[in-house]
Amino acid sequence: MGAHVFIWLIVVLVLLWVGKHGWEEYRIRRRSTLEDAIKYLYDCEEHHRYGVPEALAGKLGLSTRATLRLLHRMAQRNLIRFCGNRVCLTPAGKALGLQLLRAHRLWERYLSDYTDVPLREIHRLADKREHTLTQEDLQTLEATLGHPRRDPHGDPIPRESGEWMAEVGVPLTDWPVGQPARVVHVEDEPEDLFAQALAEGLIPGADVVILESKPEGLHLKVDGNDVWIASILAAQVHVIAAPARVEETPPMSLADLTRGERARVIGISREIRGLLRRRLLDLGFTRGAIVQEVLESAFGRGDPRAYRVRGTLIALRREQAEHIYAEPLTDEGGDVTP
Amino acid sequence: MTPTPGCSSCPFVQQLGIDLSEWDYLVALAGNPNTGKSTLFNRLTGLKQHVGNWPGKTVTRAEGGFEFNGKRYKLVDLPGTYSLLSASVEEEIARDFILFGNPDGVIVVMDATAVERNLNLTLQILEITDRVVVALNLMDEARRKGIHVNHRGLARELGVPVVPIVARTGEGIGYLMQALEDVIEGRVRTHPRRIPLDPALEHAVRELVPLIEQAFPGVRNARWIAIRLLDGDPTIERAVRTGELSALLTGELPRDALPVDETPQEEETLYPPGLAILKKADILRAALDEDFRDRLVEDIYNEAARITQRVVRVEGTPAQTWDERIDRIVTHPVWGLPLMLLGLALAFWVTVVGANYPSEWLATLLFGIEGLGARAFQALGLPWWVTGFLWHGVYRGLAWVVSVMLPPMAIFFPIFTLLEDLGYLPRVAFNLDWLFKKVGAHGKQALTMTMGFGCNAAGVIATRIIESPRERLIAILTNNFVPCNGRWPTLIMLGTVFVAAAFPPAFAAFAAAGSIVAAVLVGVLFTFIVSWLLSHTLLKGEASAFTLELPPYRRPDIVRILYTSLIDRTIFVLWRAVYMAAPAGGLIWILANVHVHGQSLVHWLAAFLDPFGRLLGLDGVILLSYIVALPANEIVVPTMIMAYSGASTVTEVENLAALKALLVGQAGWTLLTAVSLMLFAVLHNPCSTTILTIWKETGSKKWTLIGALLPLAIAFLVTFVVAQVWRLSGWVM
Ligand SMILES: Nc1nc2c(ncn2[C@@H]2O[C@H](COP(=O)(O)OP(=O)(O)OP(=O)(O)O)[C@@H](O)[C@H]2O)c(=O)[nH]1
Ligand SMILES: [Mg+2]
Repeated sequence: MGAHVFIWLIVVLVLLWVGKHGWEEYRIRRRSTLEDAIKYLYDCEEHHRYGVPEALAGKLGLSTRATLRLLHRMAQRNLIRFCGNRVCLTPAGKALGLQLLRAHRLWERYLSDYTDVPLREIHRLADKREHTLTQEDLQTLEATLGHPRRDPHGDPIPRESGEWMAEVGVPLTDWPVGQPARVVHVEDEPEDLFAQALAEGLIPGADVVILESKPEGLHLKVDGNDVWIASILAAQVHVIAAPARVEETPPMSLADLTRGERARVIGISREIRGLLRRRLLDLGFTRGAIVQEVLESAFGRGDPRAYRVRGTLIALRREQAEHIYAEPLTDEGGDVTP
Repeated sequence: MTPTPGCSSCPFVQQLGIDLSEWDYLVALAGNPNTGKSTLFNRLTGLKQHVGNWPGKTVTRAEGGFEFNGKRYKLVDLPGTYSLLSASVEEEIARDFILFGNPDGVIVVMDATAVERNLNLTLQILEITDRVVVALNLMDEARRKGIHVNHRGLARELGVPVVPIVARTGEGIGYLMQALEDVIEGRVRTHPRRIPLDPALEHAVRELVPLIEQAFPGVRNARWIAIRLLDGDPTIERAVRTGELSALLTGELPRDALPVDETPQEEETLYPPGLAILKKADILRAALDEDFRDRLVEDIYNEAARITQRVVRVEGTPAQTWDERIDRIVTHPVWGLPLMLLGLALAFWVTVVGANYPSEWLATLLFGIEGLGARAFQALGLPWWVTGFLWHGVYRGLAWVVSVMLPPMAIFFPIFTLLEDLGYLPRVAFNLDWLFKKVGAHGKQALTMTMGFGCNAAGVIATRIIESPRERLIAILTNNFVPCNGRWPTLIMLGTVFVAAAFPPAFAAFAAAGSIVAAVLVGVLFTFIVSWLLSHTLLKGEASAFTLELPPYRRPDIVRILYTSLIDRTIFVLWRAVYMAAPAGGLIWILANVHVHGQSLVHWLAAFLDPFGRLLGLDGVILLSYIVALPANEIVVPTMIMAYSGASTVTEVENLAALKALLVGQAGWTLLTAVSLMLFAVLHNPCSTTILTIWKETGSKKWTLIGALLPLAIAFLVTFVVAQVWRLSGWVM
């Protein structure tokens, strides 16, 4: 008897929970669909294309009827209007589109700088998160990230005022052979091409030289490594002239020091960003600092290692040490200050 | 400088402890991690903030009071930071207090053996406030290492008073207080040194400063605000946008209430001049080189190096070589790991051997009192149930906790604190990092685990030193697998009664210590397994960055160690156990003496739980004890013994032989029971305090639930498998 009451109670609680949860889920889904539509239309207008209902349906994977209902809803909320057979964004719609884009790119930047989420996953995560960030969240986020100019793919992040940093860079396919370039942007869609670009080290900030250009592909040097890529991939990568000479050999890093060896820091690789970059700087790994390798962890086969920098022993894992570039010190003169 | 006596006896500083009424001046202690801020805080206030030779010991701010020259001071101990430029949690706590807490003075505690590194933060603080006194601490270490710091020269360079001190002995503290008072009351004018900026940044800052001064009249650190705005700082941007900045900085808002703690989420009103400043900052920032932040830190450090060169002189061979020699040994490929285990085993061995007799004496004494008290009550003619409840219930619970827990804790804590004070713990983290990396966790988890040996709740709080949220969660969820001191008694009792008894007396203590080490290793093993599982399922991700400061070895402060570990920690933990044990004792007595259908409630409950317990190699009483002991693991053993003995004719369990007789003879324990219980003790769910802490630290019901149930599920699973395999292989039963 008692057991029955108990079981029923549990069943009712579970149903209530599922109901509430389901309802919330439904509301978020509904809102996401609407916002995804706005984002798509915004993107169309940015690229001077027309947003037509059919394309929208295809993009969102909706039936025609569902799409029409969605458009109706958007028109009711004064986000769009119909200009002929096209769909145009109203100012309110444009503002929403801008905010979404801002949210998406800022969140991507956050994921790449402050978390250890792999780069290939951040687009998907940002697609979800962009719907729940408020205007105020974005302001805080932007300041925390130090007002980044671009997302991790190199796309500009719009300001709150709607201002843009002008898009720069030319596709790698149009770049002259032999001239050093720096990657500023990699298209993040389609996903498999983006993943391929990542695998080849073609990320914003990477230094590239085209060694050879053939119709089917390019022979590159990417950060010192030989790489062959297909033309279709090369078209996804945008570059500008490299600010400095591309290093022929990758510079020496702290990870290359042997016990007791000393070196002077040249700088921290661009791949280290956000909080970690600041932490390393704060610990004293700034340009010009003199570093001595003191200790290796024997169990991890030399990982982590401890370095004496500005009078204190700091242990770093290999992943960080190899991103701090340094030049060896041979003279016995410059003493490490205690 | 002639050493002044320790400050508890020094004439002008009067410690006020937590008495913070009607303070005249508010003073903050800031500085790099591990420079002795908490030591100085304790010396001045007479409080007992925990100190330890590893960076990140203090993660929240603490407050205390003292009186000097008739003025009452409120002192705030801030977490150590390397800088105020990034936005990690400790840095925010420190930064917010220095900037918005509007202190009357800031004591910057610097490590005299690492002046250059410490100057980085000092120079930044000088940008924020001019009411600064520098305490050049650890002068004894500097002298030992042949490092001479010209403190007058340093004072001239920085433009603020610099006082050499030894926080540990109190040397120089009188002078420090005098300098502080002089600065606060304006008798000494400070001229803080400004950070030289790179020309482009300097230009941008110059553009912003007048705007800030105009929009927020009375703001004294406009330069710093300008730097922060260019750099990007959410708190300051919000304050500028809403116009609250003046109110925050000049302390119109309540002085020591931190406004940023509870940011009002209501509609913010916008302040047009503030918006204009932000807009301007936006434009100026766009014109700066993208690397300007790197340059900023570089500039500060270069300045620090220049100053250091002028004021620090090193004599003879650097004393680092000693540290290095020790480091070579403790991180040695062959000796490092065995040394660590040996140290652990040695600590347990000393504990087991040392605690044995005192435990028995205490038991004899306390149970003797129980007998006397009970008889006295009977003589007074009080009803049997009053005597029973008070003496055989509440009092006996207390007596058990005290006699079982006090001796091992009084021995183990000082040993542990000694290792902590020496600076050995970060080396353990260094040695084990590769394992943590393999399972996708953070090397500093080793530090939080060692804190867990003391108390899992403390271990959970200590995880704040891990910056990556994912890895911090892993560390929180697995902290429970290191047995806290509340679980030592269970392990020690089992190790002594069951394992040690199987060996000849000469080896008994070693065997007992060995079995405890084995139990701890099982816990560590599960930490790694569960960390791996978590980072491949719920908390997917790769191991992130790891930076760890290995502090120099320091001579431990024996007196303080004995004091903190005996008086402070032991008594504290014991007290907690006692007030959990008294009600538990009463509860068990009631359960054992209320009879239903001719049997006691204990019997019925135990019988109900028994089949389940048997599956796990345990029994009903053990499970019942764990349920009763949810608030504090310390009372598991006492509860168990009382439940067994309350249900039997044996009432006095005065020594280990009697205990064994009770457990084996009456309760039918076997070696399997002992092994299962050891495993269960290491793996089971955290106590309610720890669960509460997990909830506070994560702020999430989901993770709290996982933190509580995951270990329990694992404990069930492991003991179940062990029991089944054991029985199938036909060893016992
Ligand atoms: N020899 C010597 N040791 C000291 C002195 N002051 C502090 N210590 C030791 O230095 C270590 C660090 O002291 P804490 O007071 O915990 O340092 P803290 O600045 O509060 O550190 P965090 O809380 O991590 O920022 C401890 O082991 C102290 O015993 C001193 O004047 N001389
Ligand atoms: Mg401290």
